[in-house]
Amino acid sequence: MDQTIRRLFRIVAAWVLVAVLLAPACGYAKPARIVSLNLCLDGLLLDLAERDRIAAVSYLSFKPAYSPRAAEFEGLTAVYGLAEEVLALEPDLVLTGQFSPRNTTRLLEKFGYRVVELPVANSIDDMRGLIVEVARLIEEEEAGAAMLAAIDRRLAALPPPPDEPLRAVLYGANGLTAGADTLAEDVLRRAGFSSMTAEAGISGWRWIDLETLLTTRPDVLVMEELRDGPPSVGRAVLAHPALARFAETRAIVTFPESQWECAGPGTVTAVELLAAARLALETAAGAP
Amino acid sequence: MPRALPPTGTAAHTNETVAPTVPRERCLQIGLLLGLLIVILFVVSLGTGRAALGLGELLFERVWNDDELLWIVLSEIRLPRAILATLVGGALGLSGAVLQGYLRNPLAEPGLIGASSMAAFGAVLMLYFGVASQFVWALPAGGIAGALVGVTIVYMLAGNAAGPLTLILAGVAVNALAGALTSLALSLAPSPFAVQEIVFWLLGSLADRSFDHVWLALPFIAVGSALLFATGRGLDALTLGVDAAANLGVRLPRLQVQIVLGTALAVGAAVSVTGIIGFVGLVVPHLLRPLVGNRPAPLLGLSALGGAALTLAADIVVRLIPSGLEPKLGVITAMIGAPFFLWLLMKTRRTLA
Repeated sequence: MDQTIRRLFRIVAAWVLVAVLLAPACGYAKPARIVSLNLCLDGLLLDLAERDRIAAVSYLSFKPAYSPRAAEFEGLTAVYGLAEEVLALEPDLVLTGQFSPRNTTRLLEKFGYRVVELPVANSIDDMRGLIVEVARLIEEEEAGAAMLAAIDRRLAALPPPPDEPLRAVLYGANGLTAGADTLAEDVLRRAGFSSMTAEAGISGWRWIDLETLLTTRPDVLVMEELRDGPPSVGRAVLAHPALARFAETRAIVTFPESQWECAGPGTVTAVELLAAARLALETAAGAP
Repeated sequence: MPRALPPTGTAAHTNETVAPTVPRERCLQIGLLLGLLIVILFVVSLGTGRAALGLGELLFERVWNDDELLWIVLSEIRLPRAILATLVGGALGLSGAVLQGYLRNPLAEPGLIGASSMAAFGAVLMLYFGVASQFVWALPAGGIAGALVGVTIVYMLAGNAAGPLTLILAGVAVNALAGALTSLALSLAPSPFAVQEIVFWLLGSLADRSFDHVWLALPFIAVGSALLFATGRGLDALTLGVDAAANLGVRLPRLQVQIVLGTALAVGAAVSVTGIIGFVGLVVPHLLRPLVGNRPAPLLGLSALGGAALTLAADIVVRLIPSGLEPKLGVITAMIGAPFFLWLLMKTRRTLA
C-alpha cells in the first residue's frame, strides 16, 4: 500500500516535471511567433516583446520615410500584409490595426489563425489602453506596466501649461492637419499649445488648404521638417512661399516627421520636444 | 508670299459643313468679349476661396488695417492660382484648336490624344525620384519630353490623313500606357504620399499652387503658344488640301514640327505643374467655331482666350463646392467635357462608321 502510493507519487512527479520542462517549447505559455501588420504596433511590439518572438513586422517599419526607428528593425522579417506571406510564417498571434486590409485578416481568420485588430489611439489616454492591451496579448504585462510607469513619469515632469496658451496649428506633408480627437492634437495640447484647427471645428486628420490654415490666425505653425524625406506634391506644399511669408511675422516650429503618428514612448518625446519649443518661444517673446 | 486665302475662302476637303467666313471685326468683337469675361472671372477668382474672404475685404484689411496675413492669402495663394488657371487654360484651348485644325479632326485634343497623360508621366518621373529637387527645370522638362513622346506616337500611329476613329484609338492606347506607367512609377516612388497623389496627376488641380509654379510653366507656355499661334496661316491654307497648301507656299514638314513642338511645350509645361486638366482643348474650339466659321486661324486666339475663361470658371466652381477635400479641377472639366465629347461622337457618327 505504502509502496503503491510512493510509486504513484513518483509517476505524478515525473509527469509534472516533463510538463514544466516542455511547456515553453510547446508554446503553452506565451505567443512565440508574433506577426504585426501595422506600423504603429510594430514599434510597441519591438519595445515589449523579446526580439526572437517577433516573426515578422510590416515592411513600412524598415523605411526611414515612414518609420523613425527603421534602423532598429533591421534583421527582422518584413511582410507586405498579404495573407500568403503571413500563412507561411505560421504565426500564433497576428496583430493588425483598424485600417489593415480586411481581406487579409478575414482570410487569416478563416485558416484558424488568431488575429487581433487593435484600435488607433487618438489620445494619450487611448495610448495607455493600447499599451496595456498589447502587453496582455503578448503576455508581457510587466514590460507593459514598466513602459506605462516611465511614460507617466515623463508626463509628470513636463513644464506646467501656461495661463494663455499659444495658438498653434499642426500642418504636415500632403496638406494634412490634425483636428480634434487625434493623438497629435493631444500632444499639442499637453505641450501647452491650443489647437486652432480643433477650435475651428475640424476633427480627425484632414486635408486643409493653405488659406484656411493661415486664416485660423495661429501664433505658431508646427510643421514637419523639410529637409528629409522623398519628394512629392504633398511635401512641396511645405515649401510654399505663403508659408515662408508667414514665417517672417510669426513662428514656425519644425518637427521630425512621424513622431506623433504612432502611439508609444515616442509620443511623449514629441510632447517634450514641443514643450521645450514653446518655452523657447515664450522666452523669446518675453525678452524685450 | 501669296495670301493664304481669298477673303471668301471655304473648306474644300474637310468633312465639316461650310460656314460663311466671318469678317475680321466680328472676331475682334468676340475676342474683346472673351477678354472682358477673363478679367471678370479673374477678379471673381481672387475673391473666391475656402476662407470665405471676399476681394474687397482682403484689400480693405491690407490698406486700412495693414493685415499682413490676409495680404499673403491674396498675393501668394489666390493670385498665382488665378494666373496659373489663365495660363494653363489658354495653353490647352490653343493646342486643342491647332490640333483640330491641323488634323482636320473634330475630336483632336491634347488630353484625348494622350499628350497630357504622357506629360504627366514625364513630370512624375522627374518629381518623385528626386531629379526635380536637384534641378528645378527638370519638372517642366519632364512634362515637355513626355508630351513630345505622346504627340509623336499619335502622329506616327494616326498621321495627318487618318480618320477620327484611328486618331481616337491611337489616343486610347497612348492614354492607357501613360496611365499605367504613371501608376507604376508612383507605386515605386519612395514617398509615402506618392500613391495617393495619382489623383492629382490624373485629374489636375490648382489648389495651393504658388508663383514658383507660375515661373516654372510660364516661359515654356509662352514659347509653345508663340509657335502655335504662328501656324494660323498654314492651317488656313491646309483647309484647301495638302497640294493647294503647298502651292500657297506652306512647308508641311516645318508646319508639322512647329505644331508638335508647340503642343509639347505648352501642354507639357502646363501638365507638369497642374496635372491633367482634360477636355478644355476639346470643348472650347467647338463652342467658338460656330461664331467665327471654319477657318482655323481666327479660332486660335479665341480658343486660347476661351480656354483661359473656362479653366478660371471651373477653378472657381471647385472652391465653391463644400467638401472635405477640394474636388480636383479635372472633375469639373470632365463633367462638362465628357458629355460634350459623347454628343460630338453622335454628331460625327456617320464619318466614323
